[in-house]
Amino acid sequence: MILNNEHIRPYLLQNLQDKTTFIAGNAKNAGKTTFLNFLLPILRVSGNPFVYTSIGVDGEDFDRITSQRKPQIVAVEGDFVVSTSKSLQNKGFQLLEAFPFHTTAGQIVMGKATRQTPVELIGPEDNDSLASILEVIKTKHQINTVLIDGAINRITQLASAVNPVYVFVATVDSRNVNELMQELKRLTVLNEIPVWDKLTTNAEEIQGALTESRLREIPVSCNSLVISDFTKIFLPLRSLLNLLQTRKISFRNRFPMLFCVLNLKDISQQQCKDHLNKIGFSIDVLFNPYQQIPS
Amino acid sequence: MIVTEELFQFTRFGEFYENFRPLTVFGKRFKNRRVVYDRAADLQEVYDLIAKTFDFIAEYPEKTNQIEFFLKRISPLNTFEKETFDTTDLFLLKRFLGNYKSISTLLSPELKKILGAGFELDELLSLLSKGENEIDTFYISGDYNPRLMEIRSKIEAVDKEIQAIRSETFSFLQDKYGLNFTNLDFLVVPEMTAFRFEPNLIYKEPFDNSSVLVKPVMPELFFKKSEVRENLIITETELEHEVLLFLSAEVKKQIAEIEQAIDTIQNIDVNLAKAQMVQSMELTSPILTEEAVQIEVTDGHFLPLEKQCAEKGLRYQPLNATFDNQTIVIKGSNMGGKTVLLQTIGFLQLISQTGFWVPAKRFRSRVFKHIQFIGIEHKSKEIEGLSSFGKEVFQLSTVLNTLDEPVLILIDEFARTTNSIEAEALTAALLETFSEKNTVNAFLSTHFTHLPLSGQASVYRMKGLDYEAFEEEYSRSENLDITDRIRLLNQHNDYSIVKDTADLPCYDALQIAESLGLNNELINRARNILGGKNE
Repeated sequence: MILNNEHIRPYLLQNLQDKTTFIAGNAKNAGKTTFLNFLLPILRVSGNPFVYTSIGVDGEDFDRITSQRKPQIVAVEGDFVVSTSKSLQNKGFQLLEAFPFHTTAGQIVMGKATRQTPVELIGPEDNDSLASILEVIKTKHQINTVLIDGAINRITQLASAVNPVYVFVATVDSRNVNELMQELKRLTVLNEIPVWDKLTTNAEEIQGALTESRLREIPVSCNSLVISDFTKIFLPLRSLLNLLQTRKISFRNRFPMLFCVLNLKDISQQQCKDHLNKIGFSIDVLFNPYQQIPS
Repeated sequence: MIVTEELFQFTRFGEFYENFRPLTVFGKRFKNRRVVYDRAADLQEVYDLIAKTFDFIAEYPEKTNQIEFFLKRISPLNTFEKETFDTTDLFLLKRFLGNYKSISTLLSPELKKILGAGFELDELLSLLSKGENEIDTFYISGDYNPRLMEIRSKIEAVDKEIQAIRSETFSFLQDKYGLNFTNLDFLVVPEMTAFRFEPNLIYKEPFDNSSVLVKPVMPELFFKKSEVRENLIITETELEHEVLLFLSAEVKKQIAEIEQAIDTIQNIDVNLAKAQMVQSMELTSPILTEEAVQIEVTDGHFLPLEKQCAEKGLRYQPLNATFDNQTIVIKGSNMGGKTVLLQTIGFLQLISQTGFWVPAKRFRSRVFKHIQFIGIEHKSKEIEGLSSFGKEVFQLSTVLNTLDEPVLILIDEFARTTNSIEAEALTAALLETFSEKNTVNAFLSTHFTHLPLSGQASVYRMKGLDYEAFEEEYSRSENLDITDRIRLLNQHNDYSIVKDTADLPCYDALQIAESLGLNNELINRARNILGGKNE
């Protein structure tokens, strides 16, 4: 489904509510934080509490959408933010939680903004800490909607802990379109892999990452594999498709892509749609969320 | 005090200890230290406190739940060794004090007195709670400093002005160009529509071949107000720092009391966890004295084995023994339970001396300064590369250095891997040495049949297999695999211990081997050889 600006608000409110959503991207400066900034006002309108944070220090120097320095996040009164003590200090935050995890930028804490204030998001640097933080947010503070600004390669090992979804953000231009379509095709294929049904499937469980070399070590006789989640599959599209033709693959934890945000540059929406149709892309797409046609 | 890691492993102490689950980081730190007490008075105090806590749990289950709730909310505190505490340090301290206060009010007056849990940090808690009464939050409120309050009012006012300017500007641009910047920092618009945007109102930059990225140009007043805000924030930061300095000084005045409070919370947590074990694992208070005693066990359960037996559907038989000597020799069949007896004694002793009640109707022993184990399972690094006998000799040397202080020595089939004539002599010498010391309680399991005992040691025997009953059932059964055979042996084995007054040798290795399904031809050959020797 193609999502348009007209329908995006109810769609987002319905689909992000009570979920842990990672904002992941195809590249370091794909526009993840800019999209987070797009989401925040929409979620605020719902009136339901939500928390936002990041995985580690976001290393982006500039944003590819705006070509500007890293976009600034502005918390407003009532926002729940997880970041470091130093980044929330002197910003009018009421402290609600201090987690036993430290980064080079200080201890990880959760604060509630008492006024509008710019804030830098610095989250935990490892997955176990993030899983533990999310557990406290949900069980102790009863906040079930979480947004996490983070690169996709940092979200491994989390699926079992928080039952997350992710939004894939990418900037498409004429130079990277073919490469990106390959990646989107790969993600679509991964998105359709079912969750392991323990009762009906007698399968070999793969610990850790599934790489080309690991795949070669698995006996030919083993025709059903269970993998933790999609982030553990490190196979190019061609190998992945071959694998799916020869073996039944299932995931222990589902980690689905909720929708995809494509910021188009030098490529029309119709051209991009044609590319997506060609690869059989079946996941919802939001094109150019920041585009407006002046009335 | 010597309690070796090997003893903890031999007695499978860890499997009991994992049931000890304190809720706070302070309780967990205590658990990790694995404290072993070596004074009877200290232990009695610990046992009595468990009893009182157990009574409290039984009488006030609701309050107990609430105390556990508050214990769970306590987070680890940051270090006090810093010049100035930051907001996170103070938040954690406030939360700690708030939860401690709640726990203190729930305890019975008796427990509060014993634990020293009267809350005496009310003033500090009130100070940390100024303008922010919730226990689980912290904020440098304006109530700490009227100037801070004033600056914050100014920030609020200027924020409103800035917001009004933004709204006005956005509204103007919406009307003029149909661009809606509400909640968006920028927009991407078709380039062909952008020619009419006046540069003093809209900032433009190329986006791609057909679009431009546009941002509103904010009026000069916006930047003036933003600058005012920046300056107010600088002042606010300075004033907040002053508050932090003041609060840090106030906290530092009471560091000793806070550290005492941490100890108290640890004590409450640890005792509650121990008392919960009494309830869930049906434990009783052991009797440990400073004086030398002969060990007594009534219905003593070696819980790790009991659990294992239950999982395998095997029968478990608790230990009942009143020993009449401090030096005890244990004889018995193969698989008759000699090693388990040593493990049970060590297990009960170790959990008693780590300050827990025991899984026994009665356990009477003394407090030992050292608890030693000699056996070839010993795996310490120092003895890597030694032969089995070499390892035992090494361990024995360590043990012999501790005989002048109360010591419990558990020896599992000493010298089993060397020639039996010398081994028997060495074992007898060892028993003689032990029996001369009132400080020693020793348990030695052995298969040796001709130990020249001087009389100071008592010999006990595991009752062992009821061969007739076993044979009868065995002959009726067909196609038994090794697991079935073990189960059958277990069913007909009596693991109780009796005084072996006749000091009879125990020849049953061939019978056990046969019962376990060893090749008949081999068994018969062995029997023939034995027969020849006996003739």
